[in-house]
Amino acid sequence: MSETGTGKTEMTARVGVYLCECGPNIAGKIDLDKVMADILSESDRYRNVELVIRRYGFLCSGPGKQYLEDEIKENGLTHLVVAACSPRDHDSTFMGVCARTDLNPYLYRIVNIREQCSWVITDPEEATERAATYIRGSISRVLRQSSLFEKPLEINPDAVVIGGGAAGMEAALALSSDLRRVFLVEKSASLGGGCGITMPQEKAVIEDPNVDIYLETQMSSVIGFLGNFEIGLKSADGKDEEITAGAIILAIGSDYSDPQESGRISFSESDEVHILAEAERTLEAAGDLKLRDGTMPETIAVVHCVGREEQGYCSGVCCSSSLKLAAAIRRLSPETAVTSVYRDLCLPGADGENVLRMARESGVELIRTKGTSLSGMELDLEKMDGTSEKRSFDMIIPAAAIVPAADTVSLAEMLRIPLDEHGFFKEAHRMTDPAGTTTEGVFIAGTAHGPMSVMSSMRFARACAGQVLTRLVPGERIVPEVKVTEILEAYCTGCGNCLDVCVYGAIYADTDRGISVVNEAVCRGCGNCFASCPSGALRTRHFTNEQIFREVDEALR
Amino acid sequence: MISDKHDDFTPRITSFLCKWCSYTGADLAGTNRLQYPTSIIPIQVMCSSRVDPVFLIKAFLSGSDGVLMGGCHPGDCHYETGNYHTRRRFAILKEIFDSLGLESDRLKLSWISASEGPKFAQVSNEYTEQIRKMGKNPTRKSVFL
Amino acid sequence: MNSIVMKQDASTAIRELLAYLLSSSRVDAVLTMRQVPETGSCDLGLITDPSGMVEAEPFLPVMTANAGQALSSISMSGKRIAAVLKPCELRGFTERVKREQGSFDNLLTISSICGGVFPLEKVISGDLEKLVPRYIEKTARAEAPRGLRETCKACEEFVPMNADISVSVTEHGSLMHLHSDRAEEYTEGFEGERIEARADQSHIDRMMKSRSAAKGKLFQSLEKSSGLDGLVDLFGKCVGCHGCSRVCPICYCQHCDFESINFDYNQPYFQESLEARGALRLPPDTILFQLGRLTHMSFSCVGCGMCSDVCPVSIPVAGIFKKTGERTAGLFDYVPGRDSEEPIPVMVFKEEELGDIG
Repeated sequence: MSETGTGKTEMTARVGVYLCECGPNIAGKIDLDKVMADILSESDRYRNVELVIRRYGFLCSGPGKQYLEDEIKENGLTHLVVAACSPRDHDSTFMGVCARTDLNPYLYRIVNIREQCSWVITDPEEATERAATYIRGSISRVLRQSSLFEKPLEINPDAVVIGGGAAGMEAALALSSDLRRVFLVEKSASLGGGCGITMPQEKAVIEDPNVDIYLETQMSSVIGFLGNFEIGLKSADGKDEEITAGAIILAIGSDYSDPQESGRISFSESDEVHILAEAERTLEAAGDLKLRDGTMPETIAVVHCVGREEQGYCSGVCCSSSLKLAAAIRRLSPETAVTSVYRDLCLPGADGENVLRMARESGVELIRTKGTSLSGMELDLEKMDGTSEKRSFDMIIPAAAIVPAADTVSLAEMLRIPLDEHGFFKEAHRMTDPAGTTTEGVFIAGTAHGPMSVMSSMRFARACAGQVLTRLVPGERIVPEVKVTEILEAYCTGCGNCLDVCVYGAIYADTDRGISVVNEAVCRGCGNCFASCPSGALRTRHFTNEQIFREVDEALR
Repeated sequence: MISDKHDDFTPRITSFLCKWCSYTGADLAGTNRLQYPTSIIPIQVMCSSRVDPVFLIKAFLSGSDGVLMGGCHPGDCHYETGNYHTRRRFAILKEIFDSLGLESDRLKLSWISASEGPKFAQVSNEYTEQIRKMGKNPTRKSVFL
Repeated sequence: MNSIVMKQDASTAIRELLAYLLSSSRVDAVLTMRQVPETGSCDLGLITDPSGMVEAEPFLPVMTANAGQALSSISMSGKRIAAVLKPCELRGFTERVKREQGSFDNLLTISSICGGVFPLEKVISGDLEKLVPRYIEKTARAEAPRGLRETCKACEEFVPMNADISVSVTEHGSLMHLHSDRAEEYTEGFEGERIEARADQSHIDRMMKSRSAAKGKLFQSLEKSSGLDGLVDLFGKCVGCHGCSRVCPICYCQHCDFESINFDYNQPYFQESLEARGALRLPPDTILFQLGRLTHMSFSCVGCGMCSDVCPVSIPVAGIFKKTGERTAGLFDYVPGRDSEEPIPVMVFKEEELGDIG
C-alpha cells in the first residue's frame, strides 16, 4: 500500500514475470532479453504496478522452483506470471511453488510461449513479438484475478453398489475394508444377477463383515455429490431406510430383448422355446436340459443373433455363450443332437477360435443362414445357397440381444446421467473416463454400461473400485474445484436459463426468492451457464468478462 | 508456409480455445513442430460454451481481423453438451452478422480435438489466408463503435 | 369454433364482458387500455371495480407499454386476471412465461385481429381523436390506416396465436371466438348469440397482402444502413439510454448484462481505445450493446415496436430487430410467442443440426 497525496491508500501490485528459457526450446527461438525490455519499457501503462521481470534456465527444475520461491518471498510479489510451457505441463508445478509462499496460487498465471509460440512460429522476430503480446495479456489478466481458497470437504469413504450380479459383487469385494463399508443393494431376492453361473464372489461377499447386503431393495432417492451422498432405499415390503456414502456404483446389469419383437419369430407359452440365459441357468443348476414333460429332447437348435437387427448392435458375447452351451449339452447328453444356427459368428479375443473348435469337436451341427424365422417349433432356414429348409426341433434356444435393464431410465433421471443411443448408461468420456459418469462420484460397471462379457464386467467393476479408492481415501479430504460459478443474487432474475443448460444439476431454483442458486460442490466451472445469462448475474471465477476482455484487448493492442 | 512478413499484413485472430480439446490440439501442433502463422492469439477457456457470443462481438469490434472459436467435436464435449449450445449460439451470431451486412466470415467455429494437432495448424493456416484476402478489419480504426 | 356474436361494436361488447367477469367474481382484476374521458390521456390500467369499466378502451390503437411486460409480475400474484392484449403483447407475454417471468395459470387472455397501433408521438400531439375513427373505418375494410408504427404496418402476426378469446372485426359484424375451455367457462351466462364461426379468412388475406408488401419495403429500406459503416451511421446517434431494452417485452432482466460490472469500463479501456484509434466515442459500445442484445433476444422479438417508439434519436431499432429476429428464429423454425411449451432456441439443441458450422 502507498499513501497518496489525497490521503487515500492505494494498493500497489508487485507483479513478478518470470521467463523460462527451457534450454534451447524457448530461448533458442525467442529473444527473451528483448521481450523483457519491451515489457519493461511500457510498465508505466499499469497504474500502481511494479514489475519484476527475470529469466531463468529451467523453472520447473528443483533449483528453478527454489529460485521462484525465493523470488516471490524476497520481492514480496502480489502476482506472478510464468512464461514457459503449456499449462498442461507445469501449471500445477508453479501453483505448488506459490503455495509454499504467502502468494495465493490463484494470483498466478502461466503463459504458454513454448507449445503455442516458440515451437510453431518459424521467424524468431515474430516469435519474440508474439511472446511479448501473450505475456502482456497475462499481466493484464492476472491483475484482475482474485485470491481463491480451496475448501477441503470431509468425505465419507463408504460406497453403495446397486446390483448384486457379477460386477456388483466384484466391486463390493474390491472396496470393502475395515475402513470402508459397502452397501450392496439388490432388487431381487438373491445375489448372482444375470450372468448364468454361480460366481465364487457370492460366498465371499456374504461372508464379508464389511459388506451390508440389502436384498429385495431399490434405490429410491439420492442427493449430494462425490464424498457426500444421501441415498434413500426402499425394500419390497415398503420399508424406507436412508444411508450415506461417498460414491455410487451402478451395476444393475441388463435384460434380454424379447425374441418375438422382430415378428420373424413367433411361438406360444407352451412351446419349448427358452432363451439362452434361461437355458444356461437350468443347465448349471440341474446338469441337463429336460423338456417340460421331464423327457430329454432329441434335437435342440440354438439360434444366434436374435434381436441383433432390431437393436442395431451386436451384443458381442452371445455367439461364444451359444457355442459353449451347445458344446456343454453335447458333453452332458451325447444322445441329444444340437444344431447352432447363425448368420455371422462373432468370436473376438484369444479364446474365440477355441470355443468354435470345441463346439465342432463335440459334434454340434453348425448351419449358416441368411436369415432364420421360427413358427412354433419349426425353424425356417434361409440357406446361403438360396434354398430354404424347414426343420422342427424338440427345443429351441434363441440367443436374445442384451438390452438395458428396465430400471436404467429411472436411475439415470435420479442421478442425472445421460443414456447412450441404445439406452445404456453413458460414460463420462469414452477415452478418458470410461467408468465414470457426468455426475462425479457415480460410476458404471458391467452390462449396465452396454453388452459385455462377464470378464469385462469384472474389469469394469475393478476400474470403478479403483476410482473410488483413489478419490475417497479414508481420513483424507477432497478439494472441490474452486474456479466455479457464483451467482450475484441482486442481478438474478430467476429465469432459469442457467438451470436448463447445466448438465450437472449444479444450479437449482430458489422459487421463494425468485433466483437461481449454485451448489459449488457440484459445479465443474465450464461456464456454459455464464454465457446463457443475459443479466450478467453469473460469474465463473477466473473466467469473468473483465478478465477475458482485458486479455483480448491487450493481445490486440 | 504462410507466415511471411513481406505479405500485406499479419492478421490478428483472437482464438478462444477450450481447455480440453482445441487448446490441447494446439499444444500438440507445437509438440509436433507444425508451423503456423503468428496471427493466432490463443485465449484459453474451460469450455467453448463459456464463450458468450458477446465475446466474439467484442473481439470483432476491438479490431480482431478474425475470431476463431475452437471446441471439442460434437458429442465429445468434456462437459457433455456444452459445444451443442456453443454451436447454436454461434449460428445465431453468424445470422445476426449476415442480416446486418457485417462480414460474418470474420467469425469461425472449428471443432478440433486434443489429438488433432495437424488440423489445428491447418485451420490456422487456412483461416489466416482467408482473412488476409479479406483485408484488415475496418473496426481497427473505426472510432464510432 | 364456438363464437359469440356481438350486437354492439367490439369495444363496447368487450367492455361489457369485462364488467361481467368482474361483477360475477370470475376474475379479480382486468388489465386493459384506458382512456381518461376528461383529458384524453391514455394508459394501461389494472381495474378491479366494474364501475371503472367506463374508462376502458380495450382496443385503443395505442401501446403505452407492452402489456405483456406489464402483465408479467401481476400474473404471478395468484389473482385471477382477464387481460386484453394485442397479439404481439400476448406473444411477448408468452416469451416471458418461458423465462419464468409470468404464468398463464390464473389468466384469461383476450385478443383481437390487430390493425396496428399509433406511435406515442400521436398521443402526445393530441391527434388521436382524429385518427381513431378513421382507423376503425379503415381496419374494418382490411385497409392499412396511415401513421401507424413502422413495425405494425409490416406485421404479419396480427392474428392472435394463443388467446383464450379472440375478437375479429369484419364487415359482417364483430365476433368473439372462444378458443379454450377456460374461455367457455368464463363466458358462461354472458349474453349473446352462440354460433359456429371463424374469423373471416378473406379479410385476413387482404390484410396480410398489404402487411407483407409493407414488410418487404421496411426490410429493404434497412438494407441502406447495412454493413459496418451503416451501423456506425445508425448507432452514431445512440445516446446510450438503453430505453429500447427497458420497454422491450423480452428483455426481462432486472439488471441488464450490459449495465453490469461485466461491461463496466475503466481507465485502461479508455486509454487503449485512445491509443488504438486516436479518439473515443462516448458513451462507448452502443453498437456492442445492440449486437449483444440481438444475441440475447432477437429470436424472441415479437416486433411490437416499443423500442423504436421510445428512442429519443429515432433509430429504427424495431425494424432492425424484427428483420434480424426473423432470421435467427428461422434457423430453428422458431416462432416467438407461438406456444408457451416451445423451448427457447438457445436453451436446447439437437445433436444433428447446423452441420455446415464448425
